[in-house]
Amino acid sequence: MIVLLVRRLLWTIPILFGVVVVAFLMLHLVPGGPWDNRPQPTAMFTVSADSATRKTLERRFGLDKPLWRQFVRYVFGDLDEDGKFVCGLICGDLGPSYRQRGNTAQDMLFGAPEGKPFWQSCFFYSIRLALLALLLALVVGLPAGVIAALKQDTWIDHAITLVATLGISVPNFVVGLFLIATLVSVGANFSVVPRSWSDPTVWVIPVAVLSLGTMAATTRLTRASMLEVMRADYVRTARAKGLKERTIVSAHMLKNALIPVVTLLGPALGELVAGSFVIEMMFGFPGMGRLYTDSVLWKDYPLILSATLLYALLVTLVNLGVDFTYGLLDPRIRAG
Amino acid sequence: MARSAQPKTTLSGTPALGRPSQGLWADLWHRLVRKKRAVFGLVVITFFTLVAVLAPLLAPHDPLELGFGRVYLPPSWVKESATGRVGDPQFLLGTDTAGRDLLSRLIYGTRASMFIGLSVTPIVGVVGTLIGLAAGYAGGRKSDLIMRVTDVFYAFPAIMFYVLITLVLRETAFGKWMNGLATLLLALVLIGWVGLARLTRSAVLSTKESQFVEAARSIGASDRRIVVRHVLPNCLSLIVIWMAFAIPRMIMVEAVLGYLGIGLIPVVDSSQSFFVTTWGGLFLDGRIAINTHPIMMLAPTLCVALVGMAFTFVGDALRDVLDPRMRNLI
Repeated sequence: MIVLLVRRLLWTIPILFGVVVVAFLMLHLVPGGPWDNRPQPTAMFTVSADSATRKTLERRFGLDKPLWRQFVRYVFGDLDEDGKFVCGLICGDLGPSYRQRGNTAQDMLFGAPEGKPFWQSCFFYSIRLALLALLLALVVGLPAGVIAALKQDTWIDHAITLVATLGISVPNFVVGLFLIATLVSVGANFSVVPRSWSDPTVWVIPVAVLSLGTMAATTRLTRASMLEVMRADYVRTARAKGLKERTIVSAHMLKNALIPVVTLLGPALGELVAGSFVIEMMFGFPGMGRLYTDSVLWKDYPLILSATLLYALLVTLVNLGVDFTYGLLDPRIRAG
Repeated sequence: MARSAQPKTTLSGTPALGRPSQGLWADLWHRLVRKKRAVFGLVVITFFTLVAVLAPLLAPHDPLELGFGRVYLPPSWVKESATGRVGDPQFLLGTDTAGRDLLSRLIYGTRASMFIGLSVTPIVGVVGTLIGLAAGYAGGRKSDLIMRVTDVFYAFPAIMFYVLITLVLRETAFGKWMNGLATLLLALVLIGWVGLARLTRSAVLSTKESQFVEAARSIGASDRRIVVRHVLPNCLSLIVIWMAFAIPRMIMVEAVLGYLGIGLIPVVDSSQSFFVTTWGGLFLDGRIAINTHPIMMLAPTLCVALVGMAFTFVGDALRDVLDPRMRNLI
C-alpha cells in the first residue's frame, strides 16, 4: 500500500513534466510575443514597447535564446546576464511575470494584498470558491439522491430526477445570467460585482451557480448507487432480521452507496476549478480565472505555465487521493 | 425505472422468449422504445437533427441579413417590449443586435451545434476505444506508459487547451476551414478521448481475466482474435453508453466556449454560410441584451437543455437496457 502510494506520487513528477512540455510548446506556437504592439482586446491598458526596449527585455528574460534553451531555463535554470546561475522550476521558482512589472508568478498567484493573510491571494480565492461549491453540491446532492431513491417512482423522485437531468444539460453560466437578470429586475439589493469579497453573503450566488452541474451529477450518481444497493442481498437480510428501517438505510445502504460517489470527487473538483473561469469572469471574482485569461492574451509565459502546473498538480493529487480513499473504503477493491 | 418490475420467470411470459429470436441491435431497439423517456429523447434528437439538415429550407430569413430598421424586435407575440417595440409576425422570435432574424439564426446554430456533437463523439469513440484496448490488453510497462500519457492529458486544464489551440491555429488555413469549426473539432477530440480510454482500459482489464478469454487463449486464438472477437464485444455496451452521454457534453462545451468567444469565427459573408453560428455563439450575442431582450438567451438555452436532456434520457435507457451494472461508472 505504502509502496504503491510512493510509486504513484513519484509518477506525478513525469506527468507534471509532460504537462509543462505540452503547455510550453503550445504557448510558443502561438504567434507573437509578450511585448508586441498589437492591441489586446481584453487588456485594460496596452503597454507596448519600441523595438530597442523589446530587444533588451527579450535578452533579460532569455527570449532571444533558442526554444530548447528557454525551456531548460524555465524548468532547470540558466545563467543570467551577470553569469550567475538562477535556478528554475525544480527549485520551486515559478519565474518572473513579464507583464506585471517587478512581480514574480509566485507573487501574482500566492501574494495577497498588503497586510492580508495568504488566503486572500488569487490562488486561494479560486480554491475557496471551488471547495465551497463542492461542499454545497454534496450537501444538496447527496440527500436529494438518497430521497429520490427511497421514494422511487413517486412524484418526488420524478421531480428530483428531472431537475437533476436539467442541471447536467444546461451550462451553469446560463443559469447564472438568468439569476442575475431576475434578481436585478425584481429590484433585489444585490450587485453583480461586489465591492468586497470579505462579506460572506456575496459569495452565495457565485458558489451556488458554480455548483449546479456538480450538484446535479452528484444527485444522479447517488440515486443510481442507492437503487443498486437497495436490492442487495445484505439489505434483504437486514430486513429479515427485523432491523429498524432507519438503521438499514443509514448503516447498510448509505455506507455502501456512497462509495462510488467518492470517485466523482476527483473529476468534480477539477471541473469546478476549470469551470470557475467563466463564473469568475461573470462576477468579477478576484481568482485565478481572470489572471489566466489575461496572461494568455499577454503571452505572460511564466504566469500561464505556473497556473497550468498548479491546476495539473491539484487534479493529479486529488485523483490520487480519490483512488486511495476508494481502496480504503472498499476492501474488495484494495484486494483486487 | 424499469428495474422496479421484477422479471417474470415463466418461460412463455418473458418478453424475450415470447417472440421470435432477434439480433442484439433489434432487441436493443425493442427494449428501448418501451421506455417513455427514451422515446421522448429519440423524438427530440430526430427533430433537431432534421432541423440541422434542413436548415436552409426551414429558416424563414437569411441568418446573415442585416436590418437596421428592425434592431431588437421582440418575439411576435409580444405587444410591447421593454424598449417600446412591437413584435412583427414576420420575425417569430424577434431580431438580434443587428436586426437579424433570431429564429433563422437559431436554426443555423442548431446545424453547427448538432454537427459538433454528432461528429466529434464517434471520432473520440474510436480513438478512445483503441487507446483503451491497447492499454488494457498490453499490460505491464506498455500499459503504464500509455496510462501516464493519458494522465498528462487528464491533468491538463481543458479550457486553457481550447484557448491555446484556437490561438495557435487561428491564422492558419486549417483554423479558417469551416469558419474555425475544424479547430474546435480538433480540440474537442484531443481532450475528449481521455475519459473513454480510461474507462475502456478498466473494462478490458476485468474482461481479460474472465474464463472465456482464458478458454480462447487455451485453444490457441491469437491476441488479435481475442481482442476483436472476445474483449471488444464485451466492452462495446460501455462504449455505446459513454458516447450517448458524450454527445450532449460536447454540445455543452461548445456552448461554454462560444460564450467565451472561442470557436466559430463570426460569419458576415453569405457566401460561406454553411456554418453560420452555434448555440454558444448565440449565447455570446445574447449576453449584452439579457435584461431588455432575454429571448436571445432563452431560445438557445432551451435548445441546449432539450437536446442535453434528450441524449441523457437515451443514455440512461441504453445503460438500463445494455448493462445495469454500469450505473456507478457513468
